[in-house]
Amino acid sequence: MLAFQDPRHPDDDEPYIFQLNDTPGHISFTGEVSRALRGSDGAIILVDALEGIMTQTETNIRLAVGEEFCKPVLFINKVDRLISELKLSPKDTFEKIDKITREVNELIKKVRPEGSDWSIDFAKNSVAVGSAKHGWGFTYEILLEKKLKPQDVFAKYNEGDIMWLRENLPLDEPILRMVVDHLPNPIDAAKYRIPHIWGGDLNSELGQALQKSDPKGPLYGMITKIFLDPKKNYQATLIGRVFSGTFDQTDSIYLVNSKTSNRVKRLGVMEITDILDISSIPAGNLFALYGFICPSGETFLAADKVPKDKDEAEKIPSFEKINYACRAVVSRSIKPKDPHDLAKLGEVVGKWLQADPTAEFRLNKESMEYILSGIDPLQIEILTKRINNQVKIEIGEPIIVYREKINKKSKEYHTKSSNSHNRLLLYVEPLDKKTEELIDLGKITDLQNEKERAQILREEAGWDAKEARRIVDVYKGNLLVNGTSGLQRFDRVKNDLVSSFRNWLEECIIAKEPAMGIRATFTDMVIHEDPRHTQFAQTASMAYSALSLAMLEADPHLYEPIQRIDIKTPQGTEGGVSSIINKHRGRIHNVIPEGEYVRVQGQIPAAEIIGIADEIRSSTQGRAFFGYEFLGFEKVPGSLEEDVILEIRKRKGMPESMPNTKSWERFIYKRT
Amino acid sequence: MVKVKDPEVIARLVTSGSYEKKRIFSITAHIDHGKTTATDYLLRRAGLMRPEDAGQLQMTDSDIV
Repeated sequence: MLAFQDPRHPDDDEPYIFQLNDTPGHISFTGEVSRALRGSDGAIILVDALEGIMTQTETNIRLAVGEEFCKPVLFINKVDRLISELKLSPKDTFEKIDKITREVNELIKKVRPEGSDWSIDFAKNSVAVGSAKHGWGFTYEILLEKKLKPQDVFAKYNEGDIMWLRENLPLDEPILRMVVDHLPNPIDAAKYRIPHIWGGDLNSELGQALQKSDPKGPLYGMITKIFLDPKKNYQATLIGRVFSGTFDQTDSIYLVNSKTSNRVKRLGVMEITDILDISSIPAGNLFALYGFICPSGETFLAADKVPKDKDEAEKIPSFEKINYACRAVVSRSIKPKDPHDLAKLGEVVGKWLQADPTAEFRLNKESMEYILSGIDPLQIEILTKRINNQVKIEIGEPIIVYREKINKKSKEYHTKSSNSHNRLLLYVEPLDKKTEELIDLGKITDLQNEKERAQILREEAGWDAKEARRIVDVYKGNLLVNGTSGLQRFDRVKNDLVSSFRNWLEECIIAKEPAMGIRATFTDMVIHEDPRHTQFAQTASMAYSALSLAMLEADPHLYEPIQRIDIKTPQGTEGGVSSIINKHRGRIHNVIPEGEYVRVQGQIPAAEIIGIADEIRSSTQGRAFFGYEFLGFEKVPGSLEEDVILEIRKRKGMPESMPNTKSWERFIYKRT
Repeated sequence: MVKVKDPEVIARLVTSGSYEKKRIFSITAHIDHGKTTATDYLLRRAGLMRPEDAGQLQMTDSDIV
């Protein structure tokens, strides 16, 4: 929350007020970046003049402009490096700046809202240039006003006169002017952002109020960040934005996804790490509050406006789901140094994961340790350090998380429960690509109502209308479908069946790695009429055995996470870089010369990436820039698969042999 | 350089019905491209940070453990 007087109009009655949504620097927190952008109307895209456009610059532009409709301006930073490190002439320096501007514009054009004229232009003062480290910068307009030429600026730099630059061209001036002149105010932005980021009926009372960012409308907003301050005993501060209505400190708020009502203890706005108390915050502002904790990304409204009717409450619209890359690719085990701290550790980890819902954790009951997993080794490393500040822990080495997938439809397997009183008939098949994608994007979830889900599946993935309404569970890229009609007593075992399905998916049969892309359909089930014979263990035994037998027959294989890599390396060193990638089972997609650098783009298994950074550093004398992000899963090469499987099984204390049907055969139902 | 850090002014600006002069935005960058350093300079200008600390402290760095 920053207030500024526009230096061009020092006599204005009111200053400008800037509300800055903090975004983390590393790609592993993509979810957090998206949420910050969701709460913003504009974005300053910052690019290092020497490194130019990198992986994350592209991702950020796609997320800011394309996903969240935040209008962009550009700040080209570290221009001094072009002069001091590359020894570029003023002319070449400007060519380089031009090139970055053009590239950023191309990226913006690809994703900007249809009909918008969003682009950036130095001549129109939507691009600034400078050095944040030395505290100077300028736009075209500022140079004209000061009657300076770029050459003058570079001359001062060469003379080493940083003080002059800082005094005459202070960095905040161009940033402030770009924000004032080119980024929209909340009212203007709401008109086109709400239809894009909000899932409800635009003609409803709420829809109208949101599009006007109306302080008199119904209260509605979003939690965009959870801030756990070490200096305040890790008390959670929730940061968010009011999109409609006025948020009053006395309001109880209802969380749409968690379906809980919560009291606010303190409300205000954030000033770096402190709350400045303000008892009521109207739409079109960020806020900060204490009082409760919830997963970051929640939609909220006033608790007294929630319909009493349960079905009606289900229909409360929320913001469009943010598409995080929410997949576990790497994991580390953590356990408390003092075993008595186990419960406390669970509490601490739980809190951190509310702040970063892209990571996940679970307790391994055999080893009594927590397994913390996420999309990126660095994300997990930062989390473990944060946790260690509160509870001293032992941290295991990073371990790659594979996936177990199938490649064909199995036949039906008929199994019985261990007490032989219940029976299940089931088959598995690979989930179709389109449905898998819908689950990935969060458009299909276990939480949404059945009708809505069926409609999306019918319209977007070509499902049969009747079948689409028979989905029993959606879990991490897998589906469980009820293929029976008129099953007796199904409600009694439904929850047990769903938890069995989920447990089975979490630690599947090849190597207890999670399963992905599996559609399981049961076509018959016999449930004993006496509830004493249908307890969890009974349902679990027939479900586990049917699923496992079917999966083993459906050509199951192990899949590994693959990272996309993007390396910028000095000319002449690209051969060495390429051979390192090839040596680590990688593939080169593009080699693009970019002036004094060559850009090598490709992909590499996550299992190989851990050591590769050091090798590239030493082969290029540390002059290469390196970026990577998650690409997808690929089948582990046949020549390696068995070794990898046996190694994982050994690590997990499983029998060191390939999986087979033996342990399940006794559950096969044979008609007598 | 006119900076306004009076809490009453901030509260008035937040609660006022005028939006003409409000801007809500993010700064995004590839790692190490200088996002935090740039943000600190804005804080300095708003008077929330001592001038000599700007660019040194990285007060807004969420990645600090």
